[in-house]
Amino acid sequence: MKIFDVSQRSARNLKQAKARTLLTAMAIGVGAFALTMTLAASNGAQAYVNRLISNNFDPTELLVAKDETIFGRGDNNKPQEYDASFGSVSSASGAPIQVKQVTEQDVNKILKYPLVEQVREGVILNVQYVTRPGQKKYIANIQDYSPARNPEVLAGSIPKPINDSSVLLPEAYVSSLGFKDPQSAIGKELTIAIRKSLSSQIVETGTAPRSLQDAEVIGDKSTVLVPFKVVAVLKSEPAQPGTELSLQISTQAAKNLNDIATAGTSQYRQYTRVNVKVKDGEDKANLLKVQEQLSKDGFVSQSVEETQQFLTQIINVLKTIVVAFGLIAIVASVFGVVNTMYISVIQRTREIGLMKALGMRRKDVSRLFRFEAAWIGFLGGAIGSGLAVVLGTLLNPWITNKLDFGTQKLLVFKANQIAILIVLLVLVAIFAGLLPARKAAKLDPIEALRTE
Amino acid sequence: MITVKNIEKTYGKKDNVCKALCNVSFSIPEGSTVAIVGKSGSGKSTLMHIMSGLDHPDSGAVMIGDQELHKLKGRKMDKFRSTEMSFIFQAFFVEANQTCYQNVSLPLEIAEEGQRKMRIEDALEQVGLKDKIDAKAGNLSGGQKQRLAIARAIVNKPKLIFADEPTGNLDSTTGEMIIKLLFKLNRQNKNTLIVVTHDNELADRCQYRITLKDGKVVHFAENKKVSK
Repeated sequence: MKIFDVSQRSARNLKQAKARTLLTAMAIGVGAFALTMTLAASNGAQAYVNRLISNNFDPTELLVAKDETIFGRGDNNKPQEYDASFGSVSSASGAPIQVKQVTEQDVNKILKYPLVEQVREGVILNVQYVTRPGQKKYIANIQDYSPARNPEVLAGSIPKPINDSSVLLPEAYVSSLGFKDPQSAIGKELTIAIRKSLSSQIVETGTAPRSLQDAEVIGDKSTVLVPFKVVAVLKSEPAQPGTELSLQISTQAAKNLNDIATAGTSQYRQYTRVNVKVKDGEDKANLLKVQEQLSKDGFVSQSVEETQQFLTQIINVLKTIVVAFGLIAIVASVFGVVNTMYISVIQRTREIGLMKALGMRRKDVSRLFRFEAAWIGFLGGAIGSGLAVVLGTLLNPWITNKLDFGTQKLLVFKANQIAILIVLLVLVAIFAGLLPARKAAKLDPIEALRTE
Repeated sequence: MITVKNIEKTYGKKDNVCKALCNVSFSIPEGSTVAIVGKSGSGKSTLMHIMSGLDHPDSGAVMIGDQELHKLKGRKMDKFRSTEMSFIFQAFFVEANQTCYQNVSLPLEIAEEGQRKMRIEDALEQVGLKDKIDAKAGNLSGGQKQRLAIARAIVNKPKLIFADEPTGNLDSTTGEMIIKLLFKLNRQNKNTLIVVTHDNELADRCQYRITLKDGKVVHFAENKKVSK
């Protein structure tokens, strides 16, 4: 019997028991729905990670630190031997932890590596406030501008390189600082206030303020006001988390402000991590050579690719968990298919007898039932995946908005993945139909024809 | 010529042995009509199953033309049955949810034969069901269902048609109509028609009558009144 005829006949047979077929297919559909949603969510998350990486990191750079904890490795639960480079940072839970920091000497040492082009210290600093004449003061933080970032500019432009007195203003501050629109902020001056470190104040005033009120009284002596000119207004970018309220300035300007805030403290010119730009860093071999050298000198480093892998790994773990649930649903549905197919064989015993009497081969009888199982698998896959696509497409704007993914959709459906999923479900259903198909193929035609 | 030689068939084992056929032998010319008659349990169905290759004899042989039937194994046997034989059953065995076209198509699909539309239409026309080609078999009357089964039996132009109590489920008028149709088609298509029946009237209209009792041929007669 030709494959086409077997396929057609099996599809017609399924139509004879529409409700049963549909219910069995729905069991597979539940698994297909879960798996399609999981794949779509992981596609979206992966795309978000890729965008996060491309918007924030330069692939020719290495992230270098002295403490493995920075990259989520190592164990800092054991007492560690003290050295002067230890500094306090916030852990993921917000608790302060001590980590070894990269010092100025370290930066100079790395700069001497033959394959290193530049070392950029990563500075993130909470400033006292930002304001402009006649406007209220607002809390803010500053960040050194990374050339790897490619933010959307609402007004003005980002000069290359960025001037030490220029600032890139997040759109959130436009109206707060009294600008009519982003364009009207361009070229205007802002004042960033930095509180001097306590040590500096003691050196300068001979006394330390005992309270915040004291600090305000000391006024000019405790605070340094630094003017900056707005050169660009940046659109808030979900793929650049932490930049929504960050005023971005040149690395040198950020270092200068950081020096004011940390002079005389253990944090002075110490950095949790630095960005090391590698000459011809597109060549992975060069990145590896620098990483080897860094490792020998006691540094820990991570390439952009490794950062991406780390984030992808988290996505994969979450994906695996949801996929496992989807697979459990499919395994459960296999029993449904087996049951349905057995019932089908029993109900059609005389028909099987007739077909065998008319010369239908065992192989074709078995194939007929395997095709029926395959159709159930296909139907379940199509229903489950189809529902997931329809529901996902309808809910995508809402979910994306809730998760603040910006223009990036959380659920990204890929036709090839859905096609592969359906093919796999068809194969699973065929597997489930093997035993009933075998039973049908082995039926004795004489006995089958005698069945009432 | 279809020749049955010394067929023996026993069912069961040890203490529960049942001799279904005992030294059954006869010959019938191709294209003839044959009635196998006898009481229930006389071995009629077993003989039909062995003659059609659905069952194997313990000993003896069935020759269809030059072919010894039971020497064919597996695929060859299936192929032989799908091209050379066909069946009509008392219970019709039509697929109620499928159309007449789809029902008649089955033997052609099994034998992987072409020109289906033409052959199916022709078969349905021969049984007077051409206008029902797209009707669901389940919607047909008993007589129409049996005519549909006959169309399915003749569509692949077999040499041999086995009819197991073809009128058993029909009223006398419809049964008569089916008998007439079977004999008409036998004359038209020149295939051998082997009818297993309790119905003496039907048996009397066949050219040969084989009477079985306790698995033995007790009477083999040619009915000279029936014109060839």
